[in-house]
Amino acid sequence: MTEHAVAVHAAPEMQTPHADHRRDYFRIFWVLLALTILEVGVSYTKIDKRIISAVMIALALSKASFVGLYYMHLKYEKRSLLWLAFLPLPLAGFYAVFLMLDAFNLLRGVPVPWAHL
Amino acid sequence: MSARSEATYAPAPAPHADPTFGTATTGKVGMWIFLVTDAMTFGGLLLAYGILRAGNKEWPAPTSVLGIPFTAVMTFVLIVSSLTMVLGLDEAKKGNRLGTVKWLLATAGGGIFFLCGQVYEYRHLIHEGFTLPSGNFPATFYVITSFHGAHVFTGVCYLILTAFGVWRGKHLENGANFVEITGLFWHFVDLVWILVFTLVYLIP
Repeated sequence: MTEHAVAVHAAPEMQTPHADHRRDYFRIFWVLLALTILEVGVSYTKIDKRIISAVMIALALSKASFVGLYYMHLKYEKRSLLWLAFLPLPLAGFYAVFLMLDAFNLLRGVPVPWAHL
Repeated sequence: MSARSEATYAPAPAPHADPTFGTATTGKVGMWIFLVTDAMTFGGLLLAYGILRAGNKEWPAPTSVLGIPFTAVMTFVLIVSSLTMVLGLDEAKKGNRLGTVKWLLATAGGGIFFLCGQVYEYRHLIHEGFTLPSGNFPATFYVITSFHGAHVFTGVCYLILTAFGVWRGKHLENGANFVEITGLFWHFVDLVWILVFTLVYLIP
């Protein structure tokens, strides 16, 4: 592929943060602030712990996504960079789930299903 | 007037596009790879915290031990510092040298405030008997938060060095790529704190 062809091919994805994203930056700041206040408020409520935990994890992941997409500019990068950043996460999650299952079973004295392997 | 004393440089041209990573430079891709590996380290620590906590019915409610309003203010400052970082990058993209230095130093100031807050928090908790060897909660708490604090300290040094470079007329070339990479590290520090604050401080 020639250099010219590469440049033409990449053109639709070249929305780098060079453009004026100031409005987005301030908007995300207010969203992050509002979600943080909401989180702190929820932590003082007397709702069921499991519900609070689920809500808080969802809020935290939303905030982290906003930072990644807008402040770290993943939204404006090529898909391959997005994959580079997010592809290892499900693998880590897979590892975490099995490690936690193993740990909880050990804590309860239950042999893990794959113990005989 | 020397070139160095001018406040505004010509806007830096964007780097050439690559078929795989677009306009992302090797430096930026390298920083992303580093951040992913660093995220795995934080993930391992948070996972250990989760397992120890889930296996201990006597685990105290964090809100009863830790000062949530104080830490919420520290969180707020870190979020503000992320905003100042992107504003600094915006100035760097426009070629505004002094504007970039101003926002980078403001960002570093936010980091220094956070570190001072962490020292104050540690002193208070240790005075209350919440020491590293006094249980799994304090042990995991100090390991996770101090590991994050080390990242904040590194970030502050990185920001000050970048600001110094920009002040000397460097780092604005190639689409202010150097400043953007510095920003990636700083936003990662903020992103991790968002998760640590929720998982360690807030979840009941």
